[in-house]
Amino acid sequence: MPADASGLWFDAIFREHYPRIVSLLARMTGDRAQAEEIASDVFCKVSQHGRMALEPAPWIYRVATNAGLDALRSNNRRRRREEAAGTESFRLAPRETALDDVLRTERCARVREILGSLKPRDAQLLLLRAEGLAYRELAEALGMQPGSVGTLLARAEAEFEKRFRARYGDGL
Amino acid sequence: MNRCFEDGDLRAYVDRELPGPDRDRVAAHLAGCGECGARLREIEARAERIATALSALADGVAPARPIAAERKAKLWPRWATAAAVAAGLALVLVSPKAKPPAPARAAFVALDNEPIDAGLVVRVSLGPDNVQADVIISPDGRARAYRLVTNQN
Repeated sequence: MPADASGLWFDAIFREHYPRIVSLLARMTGDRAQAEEIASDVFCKVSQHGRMALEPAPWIYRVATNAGLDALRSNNRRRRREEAAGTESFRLAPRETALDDVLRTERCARVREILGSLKPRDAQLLLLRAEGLAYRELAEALGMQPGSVGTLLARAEAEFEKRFRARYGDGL
Repeated sequence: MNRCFEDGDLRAYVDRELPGPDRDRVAAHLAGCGECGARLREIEARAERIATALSALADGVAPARPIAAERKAKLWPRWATAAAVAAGLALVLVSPKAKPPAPARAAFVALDNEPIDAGLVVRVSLGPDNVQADVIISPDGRARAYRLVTNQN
């Protein structure tokens, strides 16, 4: 394929998906700079992968959520270490002063903690559904039958809520 | 029409993802089955709670970090650095007031809405087809804008 045609293809893919991928990763990691870094890696893989015959979005979302979950778990571990060391308030102090902000930050951390504890496929299913992917796209991205998506999604949601209640003692 | 439906069918019904005939069958069943109706409401409410919790994650996103010691060594996105080094391409320091490194070409496409006060233009070569692009990297290491380099450039 001529370089120009490949470039146009990559340009179109980049324009269409980069902002949404960064947004998804930012929600997962809670850190926009980290999200941009991961997204850059993802699109580097897209370019190395070359032009795909089929719609590339599901593949991009799978690669991005895999990388995002790795980062989310790593962030969760760091947060637990900081809490254990009593340094968490240090990190939050500069901007998070209002009680509402502190509570919101804590709530987001809890949601990410539970996401990181789920099976990767369950977490990806929840995140990508929340991102608005249709069942057909979810099936393609995560390698499952379209007819199974409802069942797996219902189980993943039930598991998420069960773990949240078990860990934090209250509902979402 | 007596068969009760599985949670997965009800979950897909909530999302309007069931094929038409299946959707009609579920709807007809729900009209006469209180148990499935109660499960449907429970599944729908849980889906709503989780969707709300996940979308709320966007509210807690920290803004892009300033350059910290740990990031100084990693000023460039890995892919940009690797691609530039691998291709042996020059890195040119510019600011908006400086003369562009080359004659006017295709406009840069911004990746966000923030103004770009200063940055590095990096010529990168991507993929097996060596697609070339210029990327503006701001001092905090973020890719801020890009343009593809065509043969006419």
